[in-house]
Amino acid sequence: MPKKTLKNKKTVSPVSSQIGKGLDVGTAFIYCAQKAGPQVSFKSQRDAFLDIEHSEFTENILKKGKVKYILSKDKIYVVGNDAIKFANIFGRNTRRPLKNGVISPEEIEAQPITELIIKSILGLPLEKEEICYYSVPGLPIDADFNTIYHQNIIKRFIEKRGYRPKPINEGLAVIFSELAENNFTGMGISLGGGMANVCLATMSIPVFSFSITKAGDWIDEQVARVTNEPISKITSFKETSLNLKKSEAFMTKTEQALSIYYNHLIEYVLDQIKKAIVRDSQIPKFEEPIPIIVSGGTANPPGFLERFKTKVDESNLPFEIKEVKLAPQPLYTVAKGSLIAAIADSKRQV
Amino acid sequence: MNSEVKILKKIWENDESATIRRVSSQTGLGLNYTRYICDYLFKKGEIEPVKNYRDCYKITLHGKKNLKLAGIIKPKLGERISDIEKVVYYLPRLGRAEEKKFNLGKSIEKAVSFLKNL
Repeated sequence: MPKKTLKNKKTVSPVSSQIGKGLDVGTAFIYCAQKAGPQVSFKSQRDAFLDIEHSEFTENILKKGKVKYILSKDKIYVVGNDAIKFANIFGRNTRRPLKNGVISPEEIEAQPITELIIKSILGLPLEKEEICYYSVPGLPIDADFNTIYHQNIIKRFIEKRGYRPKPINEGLAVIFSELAENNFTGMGISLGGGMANVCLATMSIPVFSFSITKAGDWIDEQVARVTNEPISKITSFKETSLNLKKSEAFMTKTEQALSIYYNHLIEYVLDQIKKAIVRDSQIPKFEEPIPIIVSGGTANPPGFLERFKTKVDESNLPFEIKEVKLAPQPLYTVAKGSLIAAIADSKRQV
Repeated sequence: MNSEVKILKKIWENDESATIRRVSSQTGLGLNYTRYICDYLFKKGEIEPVKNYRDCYKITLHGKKNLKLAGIIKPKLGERISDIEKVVYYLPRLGRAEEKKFNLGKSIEKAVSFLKNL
């Protein structure tokens, strides 16, 4: 019998990845962006873990379920996306290695867990000392701590993996991601889990930037308190089912609480922006109205943008606004902006 | 302390050998569960059955070594313990993270070229 030969078989050569990676080190999630031809891939891992008493029985269950875990003497640590699933099953809250945007001083295991998560999504560098831009929060204006320690610890983790790390302000990353056609001039707001980051830039140069320690986690904690539910359950609901367009008359108790705290958060953010502008006398006079871009997981629920726009109109910010837009991929905007910075930097050095 | 170490420790404490029934009553673990763990420890080489005695095990050198590593048996002065675990956390691979792809290549190239020209 004659051998069948494959004729006209198209061989698809793999698209080579571009040098440079963007890392969004968030309190709720860590994202890594990498470009390969026309596509950009975003890898993500939830920034959370759960500890369970170790027994071989439990370990076998996790192995059979292909759940990611770390073994340490008498405890099993379930890390990443599986942690919140198990937390909901056991009616417990996950532990978070980052709090308010920075390495948590209260969590003993914060550093090794964060390092493991970063290692798992960064992967190996494409070349020795490949550039990796990682997001850092701005200086908080409503809390008494700085980000120096956090920035250096994250830098060390990335260096250990073989990369050349460079920090980028989170709000500025939003501007890089979405305001290229506006000459990187405008305001970028990232509403994440632990912090809200704001940056005003003109032609990619930051004019001012700051962070606020109220964001998605604050909403979850407040709602959990008033509804007497575990925080993890509120987080899961907010991420999957919340719809801020829903009429209040048809909202459940949890939805009403979330709606109330969302309104408060938006008002608080805009109030702090106004204060920052009044405080900072170096704000340039813009020739044209400037756009505001909002991004981040906390801005993701349907109906958020409409509420934000309404509050912006009510707040009378001291500059002319061209438009208020939601980033097309709010969860990935900071990673995308960091990636743009990394690719631009690596091309500049060629 | 996990179940295996608990049972191994009890066997050691009872003059280095004990029946399953005794270990079960002293640890509070069920009889069948204790038997299951003893069988597992025997396969690992940490205990071995006592000849001519049913359901009775004695601890081996390997078992004692593991109890020393766990800090249950304190080493005598001057005695060196090799193979001490210095790193508390194993850092295995976590496995594949969730990945999503978007056709953003062109918009990124555009942004990069604008940034370079600034």
